[in-house]
Amino acid sequence: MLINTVLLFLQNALPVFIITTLLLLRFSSKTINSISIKWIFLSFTLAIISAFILSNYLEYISQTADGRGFEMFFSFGFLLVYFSSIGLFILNKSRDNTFIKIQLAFIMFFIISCLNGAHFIVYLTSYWAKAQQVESLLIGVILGGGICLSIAILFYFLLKYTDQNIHTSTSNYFLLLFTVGQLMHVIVLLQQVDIVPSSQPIWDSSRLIAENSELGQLLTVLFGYETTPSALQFIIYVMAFTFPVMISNAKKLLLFFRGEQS
Amino acid sequence: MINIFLVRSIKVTCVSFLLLLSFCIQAKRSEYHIEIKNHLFYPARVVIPANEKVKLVIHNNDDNVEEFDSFELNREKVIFPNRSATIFIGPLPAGEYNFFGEYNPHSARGTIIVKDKPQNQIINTGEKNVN
Repeated sequence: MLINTVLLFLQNALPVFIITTLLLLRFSSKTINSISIKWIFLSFTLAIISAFILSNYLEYISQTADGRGFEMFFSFGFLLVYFSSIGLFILNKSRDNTFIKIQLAFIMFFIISCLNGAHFIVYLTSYWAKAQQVESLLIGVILGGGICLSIAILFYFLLKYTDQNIHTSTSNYFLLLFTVGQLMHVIVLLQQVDIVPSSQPIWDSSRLIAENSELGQLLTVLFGYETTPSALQFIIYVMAFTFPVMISNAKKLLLFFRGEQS
Repeated sequence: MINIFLVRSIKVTCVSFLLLLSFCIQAKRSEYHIEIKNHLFYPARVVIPANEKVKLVIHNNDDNVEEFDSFELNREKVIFPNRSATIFIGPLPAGEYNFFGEYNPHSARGTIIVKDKPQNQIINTGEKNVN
């Protein structure tokens, strides 16, 4: 029970810690010093309350739309996260529109926290009733929280370093890749309930990095790593990443095709 | 200007999503049933035909929530107490694909056996596969 709780907490809480890290990095620069501790605290509180409310309605949601309600609801949430990240990615270079950027960041943080939080609360409340397991659950949550926090701090300083010394937009590209990974959940969820067609996998990299290994699970959370992706998943992954990058660099591309230098 | 762009983008997203759902046409699939009792899957081994999409209906008879999970099948589905959930798997090449209950991974375990020749399901009970 203890190890299982740690693993489940990591699976559900790590995306929340990663998105928080990425958004803190995104808004901690001197030019956009617009997120205060008060806003962060309010967002966290609102996300936790919403996750509790959502966890109470998940059973009802899962029974709607002929048993597809859960997948449709989560897919819509992850789609919103992806489109918000596109907005944030494109607006990255602009010094204006600070309020819109904050709104987009809030949508991303709120949805990821709420969906993952509700998922974990369902497990927690279901097994809380067994008195002998309360201690294991509590220790599991504390251990999982410690691991998530350590990974988040590590990523914060690593990305801050790469932003300052390697490429100024590293964390911005990382954020886009992270949300493309979230978009992969949409494909899998919709394939699971036969809304999106599924086909045979185009490769199997389970011998290289198994999805149930520690590295595999970390890569799944960070970039939506998949050992046996279908052709549709692969095409959408590539397009979902290249499309915003091309829009963001439209001016440079136009100049390049005209044979001019930027 | 950006506001208008954003509102339009959100509208396009919503309409696309609804269109995707409305275009969804449900074909008849072979149906297989699995039950969860005392944190065990019954049957623990299910045989399905290769290269065919099938419908898997999982009934949770326990008082606790369970999550059907499989890395190999790439499926994850929460099943609430005394409720049923449906997932679709395949088309898959012949082979063995393990699944487990994420909330009770030591007891709730099973295998989907994909065979070239279509056979009908149960070949073993859940109890024999318990660790």
